Amino acid sequence: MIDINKQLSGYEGTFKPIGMASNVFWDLVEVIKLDEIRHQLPSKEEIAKLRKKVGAL
Amino acid sequence: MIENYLPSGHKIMDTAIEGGQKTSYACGLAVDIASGHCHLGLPAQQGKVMIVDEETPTADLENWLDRFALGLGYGSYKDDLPIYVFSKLGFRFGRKELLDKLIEKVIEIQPSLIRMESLIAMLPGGRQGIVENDSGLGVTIRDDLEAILNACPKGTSLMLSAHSKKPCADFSLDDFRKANMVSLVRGHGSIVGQGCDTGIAIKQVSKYPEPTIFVVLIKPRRRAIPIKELWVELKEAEYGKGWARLEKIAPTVPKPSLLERQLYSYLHNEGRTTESKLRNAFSLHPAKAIYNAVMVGIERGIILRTPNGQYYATTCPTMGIEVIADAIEVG
Repeated sequence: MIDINKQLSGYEGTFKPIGMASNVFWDLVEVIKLDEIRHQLPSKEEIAKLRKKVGAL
Repeated sequence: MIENYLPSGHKIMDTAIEGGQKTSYACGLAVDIASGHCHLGLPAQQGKVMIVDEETPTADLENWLDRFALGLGYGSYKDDLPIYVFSKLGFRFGRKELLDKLIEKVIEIQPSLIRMESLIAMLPGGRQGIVENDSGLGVTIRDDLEAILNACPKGTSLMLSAHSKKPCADFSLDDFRKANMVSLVRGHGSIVGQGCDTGIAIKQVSKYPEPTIFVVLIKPRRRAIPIKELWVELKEAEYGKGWARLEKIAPTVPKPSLLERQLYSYLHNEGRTTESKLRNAFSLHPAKAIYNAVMVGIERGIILRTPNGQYYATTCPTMGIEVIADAIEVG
């Protein structure tokens, strides 16, 4: 069983392989990374507001 | 913009024949960048995407965007992703009023990627029109694209689609690999000379009912790019419906076409055959298609050429033609 916290500790940002990763681990990393990105995306309200302002579809 | 693949701040030009996956590929790319998802396994810089489309029917364009958004677990692209689509806005190159109108929108949006489709559809018509073979077209396009990029944040890339020349329809994958952008893009050579910093050629190698597979061939012009080509499969819930995803796959040997199979059988039955005899036997096909089919057989090692220019199918004493035909089917 992979200890995800242990695997991620000391790991910095770019998500490059560190040589000991299993596919499961990298799937988890991808999920975490996407989750982080989702939080950085503009909110639905912001997207809708800009869409209306510029007259996009 | 995408590590080792698409440079930031470039004028990118993509080309393919009609129906050659330009629109679907660009929609997949747009969704990956807007969502920050890896594009074909390569890390992408998340940012807003602006699509200016004068060619694709609006419903089809939105359908592709929604399907790719669904493929990443989002709902509608409109609700969840910063993709701003302007379909049939009326933009034309070389028209200052229209350019200013577009730049106003660019300033508001501040996109990371601007997708423009297509070059031909954005040429002004009428008495003051510009035709695709006009020698001044390249400079006109360059000036307009530069003006648009100048209104964007630093590092924004602009991707303009251009139709390939008609003979490219008969090009093999190897022809696409060898050709440079100028010999692929329809219209005057200055279009590529002035309007393209990095080129992308898309060659479809199989389509429905087979898996939809295409190859993205990178044609660097101003900056070295480590990746030379990417094999891509369009995965979808069902043909033309539901979620869709672009996935990088290993280079594959596509199933032989009907002509390739017929040509192999013919050579197998006839033995050594000259080029002119082959051309007569398959006279309903263009010469280039026959040539390509022979070359595919040679690449696969099932057709050989004698020093005096005759072709024959290889035979194996322990294998009948059906076995060889099955073998070429699975590559």
